[in-house]
Amino acid sequence: MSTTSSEPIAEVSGLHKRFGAVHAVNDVSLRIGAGETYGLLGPNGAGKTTTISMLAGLLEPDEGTVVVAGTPIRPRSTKGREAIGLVPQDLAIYPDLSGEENLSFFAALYGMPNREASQRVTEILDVIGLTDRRKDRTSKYSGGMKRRLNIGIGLLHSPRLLILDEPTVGVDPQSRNAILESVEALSGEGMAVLYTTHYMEEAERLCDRIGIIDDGTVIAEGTTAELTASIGEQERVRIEVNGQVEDAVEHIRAMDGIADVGADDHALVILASDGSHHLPAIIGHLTDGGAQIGSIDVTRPDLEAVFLHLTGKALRE
Amino acid sequence: MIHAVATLVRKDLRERFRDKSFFLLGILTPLVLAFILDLVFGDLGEGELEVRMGVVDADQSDVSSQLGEGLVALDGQGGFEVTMLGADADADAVIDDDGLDAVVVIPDGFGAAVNSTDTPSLDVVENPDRPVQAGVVESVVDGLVADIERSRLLAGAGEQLDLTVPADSLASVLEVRREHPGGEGLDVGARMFAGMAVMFVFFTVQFGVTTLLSEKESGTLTRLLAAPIPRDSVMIAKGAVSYVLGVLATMILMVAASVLLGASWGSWIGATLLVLSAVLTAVALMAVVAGLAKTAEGAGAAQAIIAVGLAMLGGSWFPVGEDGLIGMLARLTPHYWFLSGLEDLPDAASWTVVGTPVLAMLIIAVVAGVPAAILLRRRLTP
Repeated sequence: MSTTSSEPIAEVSGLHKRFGAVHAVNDVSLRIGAGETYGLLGPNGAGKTTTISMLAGLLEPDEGTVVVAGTPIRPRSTKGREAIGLVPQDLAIYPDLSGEENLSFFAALYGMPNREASQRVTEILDVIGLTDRRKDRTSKYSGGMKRRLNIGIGLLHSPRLLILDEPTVGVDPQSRNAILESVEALSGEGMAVLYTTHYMEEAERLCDRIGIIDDGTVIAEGTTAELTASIGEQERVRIEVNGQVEDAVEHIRAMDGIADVGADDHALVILASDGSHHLPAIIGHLTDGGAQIGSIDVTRPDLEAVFLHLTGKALRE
Repeated sequence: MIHAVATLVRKDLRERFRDKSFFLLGILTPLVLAFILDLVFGDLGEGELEVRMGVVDADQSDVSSQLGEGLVALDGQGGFEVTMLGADADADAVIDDDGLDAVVVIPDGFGAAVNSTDTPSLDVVENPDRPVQAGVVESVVDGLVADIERSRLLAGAGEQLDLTVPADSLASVLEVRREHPGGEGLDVGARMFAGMAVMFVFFTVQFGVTTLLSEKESGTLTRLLAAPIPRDSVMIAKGAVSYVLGVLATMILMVAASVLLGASWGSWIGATLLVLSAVLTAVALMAVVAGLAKTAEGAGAAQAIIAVGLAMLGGSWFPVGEDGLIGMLARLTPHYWFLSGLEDLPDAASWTVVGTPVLAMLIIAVVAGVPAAILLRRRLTP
């Protein structure tokens, strides 16, 4: 995660989109600053792709506005498009063209002069690790290589805002990790990134701020810590102990920030707003009382729990 | 807009040439099909139907001699090669040995039958391997018999009216009437080639317009629509690719027919105008189908059916009648006007003879093109 700039790159206000009776996007607003990675987290069908389609100028909103790098984005206008890099969920590459030809084609489409395009294509091939396979048709690429090229095309024209729509779907763990590392590096270079996913661990790892979307509505927004705190979820500290713990339990219970202390078989279970922070003091009370500590396990509340709390259903439902 | 269209066209053409579908379906298939039809129907490659015919006069009467001489007189006319065989020649053996297309046998008693009330008949022994040529001989003989019958009736009526009928009236009936299947202007081979070319151009142009649907299915259309280019440039580029491929394939086929088969198209200016108009019409019609279809696969299937149906209706496979409902429907197809224009070109003094066919095709192109553009525009969504 990187430091967020106050400079707004993307500003979305009051977006609505209906498909017949379905209100696919309902009053969505968000703002992404330079160098910020914003995660749009929600299950399949929540409205993520419809939202980014309007943000990328692919769909006309029924209501609301989209401004990217100071330019209003509309489907029937080409203005402002060069500030946006879109990486669709589908592998949007041409199988009968080589990796280099795919990149060169999109460079030309974005109006890059030949010399600049050639240099940029070489750079991107290096970034995505396909320099050795640049002349091969992409139909011969592995799934991970295609995914990397798919992202490379989105980066080609150095956009101010990069939109990544579930870029790791169907990707092997090694390629997935490479993609996540690339995204981390991009936000570090000052690019605003909008990242949609239904994998909470990706959102937690990459995103400075997260918007949780369900049924077309952003139901919560903030950092992971803010979101988990907002629902009052506690960290759960489980400590295996041997020996007398009664006095220690009383001391621990009296500490600030401790919500509850219970016991099961040879273990104490402590619920705290910030269990990790309190851990040294807890251990101190236990060892002072003569107890021997076996193992310690701290479980933090995650976005899955937040989503469950807010919607009453699991993220992957 | 122009830069975007040119970039898209270059990319699409590179893909089409690389996946070889253009060469296979646009050039090779019609070329091979035309040659196969040539082999099946025979002699189309020579530019003119040649018929080798033998005559056996088993009757040896004055009438049969007169008829035999009349048939031999056809030798060298309109592709006919006629040989008078011996009176006792075995027609089957001659066909087997010499490869004649057919042998006309004037049977014993023919002269007597003509001069009486009996029904005269001629026998035609056909070469089973040369059905088209043998059919031509059979048509000639049928015509002869009918004319002889007419002469006999005329003579009978003349006698009743006390008129003198010229003794050489029989000779006058020995006029062979042959019809070129494709009309007088274009030989059969060239017409077959042109028919295949205009039919397959419908398959060729679908590579362009249908890729709009396949790009939508693969997700690349989303990327194109996100680029800083006018949306209509995508649609225009697809149409342009169809048009370029269609013109290229058709012109290659027509030049190939000219070089390989000696087909004569007449004025190349006129022929080129016909090609340009026919391909434009094909693009418009196939674009309508692409605009209505839900998937690229569905569009391909519908386009194939329509391409073959229009080709049959328009006379690509066999000439269609000029009159009646069929004739009227045929005029709604570009195939009819394309072939009609080519038929007129070889004998025309100027290429302007293609004016009407070109105008007709342009009208069809506009009538189909406007709804096609509206329908395809609606497809320009992610």
